[in-house]
Amino acid sequence: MADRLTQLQICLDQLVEQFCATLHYVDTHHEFIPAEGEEAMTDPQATVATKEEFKDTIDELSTDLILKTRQIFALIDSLPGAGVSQQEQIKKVVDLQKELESVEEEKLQAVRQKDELLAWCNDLVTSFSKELIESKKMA
Amino acid sequence: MAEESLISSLYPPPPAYYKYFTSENVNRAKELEASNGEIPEDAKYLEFLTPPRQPEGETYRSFGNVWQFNDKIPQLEDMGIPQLYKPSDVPDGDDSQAKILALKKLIKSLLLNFLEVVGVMSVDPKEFSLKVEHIRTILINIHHLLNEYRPHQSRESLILLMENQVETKKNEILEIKRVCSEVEDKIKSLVEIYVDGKAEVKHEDDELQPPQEVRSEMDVDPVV
Repeated sequence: MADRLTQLQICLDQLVEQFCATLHYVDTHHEFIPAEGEEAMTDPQATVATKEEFKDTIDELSTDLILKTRQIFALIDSLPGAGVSQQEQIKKVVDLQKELESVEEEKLQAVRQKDELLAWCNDLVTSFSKELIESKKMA
Repeated sequence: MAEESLISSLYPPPPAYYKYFTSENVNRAKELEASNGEIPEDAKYLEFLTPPRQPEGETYRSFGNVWQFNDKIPQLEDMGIPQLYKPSDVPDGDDSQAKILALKKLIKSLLLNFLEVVGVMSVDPKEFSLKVEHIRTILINIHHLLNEYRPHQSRESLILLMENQVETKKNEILEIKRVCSEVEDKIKSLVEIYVDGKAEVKHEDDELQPPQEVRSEMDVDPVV
């Protein structure tokens, strides 16, 4: 998933594309209204939509625009680190760096303990088997 | 001709003087520099080892582009586009809250301007250009604001990544410790069974392979 800012920029592009699409629809589907005392124009290139259709599509297109805008606002609200100053961020990074180092140390310690336990288990198994063989020999 | 253009479009080979960068020459150049000595006639090639000075001015050209010496986001005004939001009064433009507010205002203006375009075009389609220009300016402003926000987001992402890393490591530690104590408990319980009833345990472990080498027994070994 892209980061928030890229998402926002993509949404903006989409919004502008929707602007274009809306204008284009109005341009190609509007009806012809005659000037006073004249006959209505016709244009074979244009596909005139019925009043009903036209209204519905315009409704849909404007709803889409509003939805896209809401999406953009939601994205703006979820921008990371709002209200955190640069100094705070840098301090946090430094703190995290230290924590990371100490946790790494702790982890190495745990791994060492695990290795010791493993060695101990190995020895246990070895000596156990050894005793088993000897007891078998005796038997 | 075609061949020529092909060759000229290839990535250029490294400059010939790279061969002079031997350890011996580098050391010699350092000595010369430390003593401020002149480069001797017989070793003119050492000149290659002195880094060139930074070009004058604030920009330089490389691979057909102009670059800034100091990375900074160019200001809108410098690009001939009016800045619609209030310039940041915090150094490095570091006030996310104000930026977010400005962003929201700009988005609303964008919508309003679109509405105006539609309105203007329904009255006098010839007059669209001014409004379209406004929309263009607003969009450029929005994108610029977003790009100004990027360093902030990058730092925030870094913090998030580091937090995740710390979290992962802590979980790893917990897991290691959990498994270790589990193993310990298991052995302890086995030992108890073994001590309690040697005979019963023995035949269960018959399948154990004989060891390749017998290790020294540890003092904690309860078998001894």
